Amino acid sequence: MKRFFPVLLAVMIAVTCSLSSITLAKKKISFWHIQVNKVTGSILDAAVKRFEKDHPDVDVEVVASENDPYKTKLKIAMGSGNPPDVFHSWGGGWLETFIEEGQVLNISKQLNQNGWKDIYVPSYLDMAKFNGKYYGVPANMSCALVWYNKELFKKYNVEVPKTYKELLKAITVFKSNNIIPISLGNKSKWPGALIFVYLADRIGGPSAFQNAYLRKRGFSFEAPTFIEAGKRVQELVSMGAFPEGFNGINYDNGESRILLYSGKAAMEIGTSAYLSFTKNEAPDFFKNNFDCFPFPAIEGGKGDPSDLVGGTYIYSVASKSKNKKESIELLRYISDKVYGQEWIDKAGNLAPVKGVEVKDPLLKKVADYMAQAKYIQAFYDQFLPPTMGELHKDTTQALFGKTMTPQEAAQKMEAKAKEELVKK
Amino acid sequence: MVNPQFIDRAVEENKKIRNQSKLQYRLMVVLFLLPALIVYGIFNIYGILMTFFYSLQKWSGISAKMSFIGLENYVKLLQDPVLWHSLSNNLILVVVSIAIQLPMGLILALIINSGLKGMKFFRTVYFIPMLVSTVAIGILWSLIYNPSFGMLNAILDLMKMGQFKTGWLGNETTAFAAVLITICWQFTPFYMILMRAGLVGIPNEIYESASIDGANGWKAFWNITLPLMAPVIKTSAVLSLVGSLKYFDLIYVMTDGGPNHATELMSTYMYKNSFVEFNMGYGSSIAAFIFMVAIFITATMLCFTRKTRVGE
Repeated sequence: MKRFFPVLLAVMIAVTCSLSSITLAKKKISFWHIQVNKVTGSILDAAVKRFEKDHPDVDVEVVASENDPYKTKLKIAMGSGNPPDVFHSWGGGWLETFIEEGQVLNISKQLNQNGWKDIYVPSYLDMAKFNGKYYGVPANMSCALVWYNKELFKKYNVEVPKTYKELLKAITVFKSNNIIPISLGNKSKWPGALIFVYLADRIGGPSAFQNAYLRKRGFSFEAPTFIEAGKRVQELVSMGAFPEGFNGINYDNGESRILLYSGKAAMEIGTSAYLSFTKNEAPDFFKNNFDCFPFPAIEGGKGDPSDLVGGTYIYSVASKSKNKKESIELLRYISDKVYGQEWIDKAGNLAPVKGVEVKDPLLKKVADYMAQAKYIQAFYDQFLPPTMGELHKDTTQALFGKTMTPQEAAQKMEAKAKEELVKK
Repeated sequence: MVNPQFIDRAVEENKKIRNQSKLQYRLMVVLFLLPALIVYGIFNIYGILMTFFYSLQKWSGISAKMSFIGLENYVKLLQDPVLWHSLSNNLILVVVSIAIQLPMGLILALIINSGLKGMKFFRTVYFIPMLVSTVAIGILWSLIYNPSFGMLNAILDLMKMGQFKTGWLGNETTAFAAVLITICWQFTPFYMILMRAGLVGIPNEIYESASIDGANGWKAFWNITLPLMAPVIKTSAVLSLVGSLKYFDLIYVMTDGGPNHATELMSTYMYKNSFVEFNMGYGSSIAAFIFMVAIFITATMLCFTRKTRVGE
């Protein structure tokens, strides 16, 4: 059936075109993204409209899908040999898989012409860079922070924790007052993984992960850093820092956020998308007692407390595209300054393009954190090859559920790394 | 007087016509079956054959590169602890489905068939879960099980049993049981309708004559209803068995196989490998494994029940 509808559609289009007096055959580009949200989707639609206005001979077909189905859909489209011309990814290992299979167009030449490259924030453009070549443009900046309920902090005289010790103290205070210290929706596994990645970064610094990934001598995923991070995760769980049954709470439909809005929980660690979620879901709460702070430093750890865990959206062109020139041209429109400004003003996200202005004070705060960050640690599950990414999420979920020891989790990761990363 | 030769000729012509019409009839049957057969061939048989073909390859599912690796995927599969864990989950699901859904279905069928007042209303109520889409059921029950504002924990609170509260779907020990309950709730009405159709098919005269012989209530159920229902029960059991072996959707919605593979079924594990982790070859070998397990178990069950067939 799946193949039937496109055929039917094509026949219908052919019939209508032959009936109408259009003699000019338009070029067709398909663009797949994951902005199913009305606001963010309309921003991309506007960018596509601008492109179509400047290129009257091109028709862009925009398809938005939900995050997880999108992954499956794109994979099947690539595998069956008719991928979309322009598609969304998160950079990292997932995109790299497609690049290794020769499915993604290298656009370094175009980026280096007329200073196109220079409009982007370099550290985010680099997330589309593999083996020194560029395979896409960045269109979003996100980082993970600790979001909190100001009112609760004031009520129980809790200062914003700067160190891990202070965080533990805050947890104890909230716990004793029957407030859930840190909300967590770990059904999707990545919210918990954020905490693990932060702990690992604060303990071992950026090099611990980078060198384990590059298989450098003396570094591995079994290193003390990762075991220690696992221990701290279980320490937090034992303290009762998280809500009951967090491994079954769904972040995607807001089950964990509602605890924060309703004053049942004091904090939650989430990406900057949290901002736009809150703006839409709880506008009053957003205005009056919503704020954020960076993940606390760990005493004696090697990591810089300004480091952030973050990610981006990358838009790339498929190497099988029939209209490469137009597709690359479309990339400009869906990542330029006009788009970036709308992305900031309307959606409350951040854009990795220079010269945009952030008006919202809280968003400005997030942008400043990003500007000050010495290092952006990519989300492991997006950066690593997919099998490792999934294992990382599974083992972290088990760590949180205390059904696996930190040593076991680290051993599993290292065993998989030996299989997956040696090939590189 | 009729010429005997003439009779012979008539008989012969008759035969010819009959043969012709037989052939025509057969052609017609084939012609009517053809569309369904073509669709079935392309989407099922070809699909199954290709699954076996892909399971012998190392293939990511997105590249043009495919390399033949023989039985390597199967060797890996037999050593994969997660696969055996999912198989055991599937077998638990089979047993639970047959042991709970079928009797429950039969009991409900007997209740709505009892002809008591107001049964029309209950028939509708019992049938509702069958009409709701699986995704909606998954979300509904996820909310019931929700640890912070779910109905189940609220009820426990009301009953002063707060110590039993837990995050049902997030806790590895309770997650699978919670999902099983939901699955039973979803499919019991289906068997109820099947069983009811079977009950309606039993002629009343049998019960009447039995009651003259003094067999009433429990005795009549045991000696008349159950034996006459055997074919329906058998059909239900096979349906339930095959359905349980390839079950996927509710798990995908509610727990996605988590936490830490506690609710993983073979099909969800196959999906993960094929579409999430870029291992189409390995995923296909899991699919082939599911196929073989299902064939083996179903065949065993059919053989087993054929010997003890009653009343056919």
